Amino acid sequence: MRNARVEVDCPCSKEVLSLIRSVVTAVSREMGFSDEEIAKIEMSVDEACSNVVGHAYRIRKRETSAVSQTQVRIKLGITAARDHLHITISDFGVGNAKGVHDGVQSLEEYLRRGHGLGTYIIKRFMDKVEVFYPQESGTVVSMIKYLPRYD
Amino acid sequence: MKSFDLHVKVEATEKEYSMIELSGFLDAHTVNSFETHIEEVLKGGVTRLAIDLNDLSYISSAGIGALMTLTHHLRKKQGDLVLFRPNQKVFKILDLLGFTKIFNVALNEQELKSYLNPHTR
Repeated sequence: MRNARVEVDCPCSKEVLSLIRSVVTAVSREMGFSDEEIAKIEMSVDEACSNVVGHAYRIRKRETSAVSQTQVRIKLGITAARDHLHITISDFGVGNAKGVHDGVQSLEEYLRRGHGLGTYIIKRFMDKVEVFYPQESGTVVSMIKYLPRYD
Repeated sequence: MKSFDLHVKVEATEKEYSMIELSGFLDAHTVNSFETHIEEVLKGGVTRLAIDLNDLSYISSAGIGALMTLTHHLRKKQGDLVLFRPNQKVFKILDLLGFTKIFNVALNEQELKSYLNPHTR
């Protein structure tokens, strides 16, 4: 499976996390990643989505007016390229989920601080991670995992 | 949408420890349910606890955080937590992140008893 793209657009809620993991796992398996690499990809995507969902929950609690459904959605883009898997996680209208930048740099730091493990996991398990803030509100987390080369 | 979930089964309490079996997944969605079940178990005065992870298909940082909190709580009470026979996937994740050096991980009954039997510690 090469140059295939899957998109998932769903409400920003904790209930969809397992669905998102299932989709990512299925695509990763089709691409030929090992079980260990699939587990890393699954966890990285889940951590990024959980961060967005958590941020959306905090926004909803703070808002006194009703937040429209279009403002609390998460969009997952999965591109299976020839030698890598590219995943983007975008949220719409929930402001800048800066949690990706609040992570720890090591397990020792996590044990001292008691939080920030999710971002550490993403950066540890994925080959490339970038965060973008589009001009309209929202955040895009971009992750890449390369297929191993067997020379 | 079908409700995927976390299932918690509390085994009968033995003298040395209590055993909880988890199945399903422990993520940001199910961690609150897990913590609620644990609170109920701890109300009974349990200080030595084993959690059977063999049927747990996934654990996230939220789940790991909950296990860390539980471990700290039990150790403060001179007890402990043991993660019992995590399946290959969950063990690998914990190991890659370094948590197999922090948690007690027992792969069989003998290791479990050696962690939780106060007479052998």
